[in-house]
Amino acid sequence: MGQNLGLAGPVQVNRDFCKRCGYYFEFCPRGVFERPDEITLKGVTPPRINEWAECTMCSLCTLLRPDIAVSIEV
Amino acid sequence: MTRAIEEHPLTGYLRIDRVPHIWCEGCGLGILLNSFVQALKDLEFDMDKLVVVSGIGCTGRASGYIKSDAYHTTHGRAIAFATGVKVANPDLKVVVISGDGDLFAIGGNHFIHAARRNIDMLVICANNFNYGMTGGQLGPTTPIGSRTQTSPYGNIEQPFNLSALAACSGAVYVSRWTTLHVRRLTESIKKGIHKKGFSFIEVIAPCSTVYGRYNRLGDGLDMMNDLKEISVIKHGIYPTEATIEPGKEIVVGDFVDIEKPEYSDMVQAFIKEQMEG
Repeated sequence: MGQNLGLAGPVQVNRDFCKRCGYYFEFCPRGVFERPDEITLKGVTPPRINEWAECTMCSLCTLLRPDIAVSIEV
Repeated sequence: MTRAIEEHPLTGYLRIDRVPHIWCEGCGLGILLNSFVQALKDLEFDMDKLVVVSGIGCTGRASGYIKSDAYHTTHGRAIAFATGVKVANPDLKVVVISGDGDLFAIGGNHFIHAARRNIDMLVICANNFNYGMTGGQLGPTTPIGSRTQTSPYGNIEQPFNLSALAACSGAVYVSRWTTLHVRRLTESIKKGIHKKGFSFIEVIAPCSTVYGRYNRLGDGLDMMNDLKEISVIKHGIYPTEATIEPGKEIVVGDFVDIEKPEYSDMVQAFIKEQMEG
């Protein structure tokens, strides 16, 4: 779904759904996400996958997603 | 930029065509909705057997996003509608998702009497300490000293302890979590769906746009970090001892898990007895 902004990893970010809650940067235990400088047309900064190799598929991001924007393809 | 709606993992459980939802950035209600839907997905729940009922308010919008039969009812009457659904068709699982103002101010009487009768339903209450949708007025859960639109110099009313109210009214399963304890919340929702009887889950949700702004609590991320610092997990204590003081301490956990005869079973047994007699 959506547009994968990182490398060919399992974590997907849907930029259309994002409202910039910022929870992923703060609460991802492995620091997979980074906050990019670019701002979308809606004025938000969707998370970008920085280090997907660090991802352990704990799926915390798919639970802690208020806007249902992040998914993990299993 | 294309949106691949069909491929979303929650497509069978959520009306993805209605997402993005109406809730503000950083609002905890999105996490609550996601957690509930994730619990349904983990249980592989039959969506034809589920009815979601909600009242009015920000949380009341939740029923519209779930891909099951749903009622968006009048203010405060969600539990009254849910009681009718359950008694009419006991095979259905009825879930009420609503806010603290809807369930405990306008619908307070329906709540305590549904808990007293022990009707089989799961009530999920999002507690954000104010009436968010109408601009942040004082509600029954607003903590002492908090500023709202209708208490600009600080609240002087004692708030409800919702979990204690549910337990004292007769609920068979009571737990409280914050939107930060999302994995434990999902497990509690699964337990509540399976539990026979009146189950109550209180979810402390940050309202950064209104409550957070009046009380200078920062954005949603600041409020979530605050919840992380002040929440304490204490399983099994009676909810009257589970203090809820935003800014100081919020006790969370599974508080009550007991067994009692259930109302719709008793209705069916009574009808059968009368028909045979």
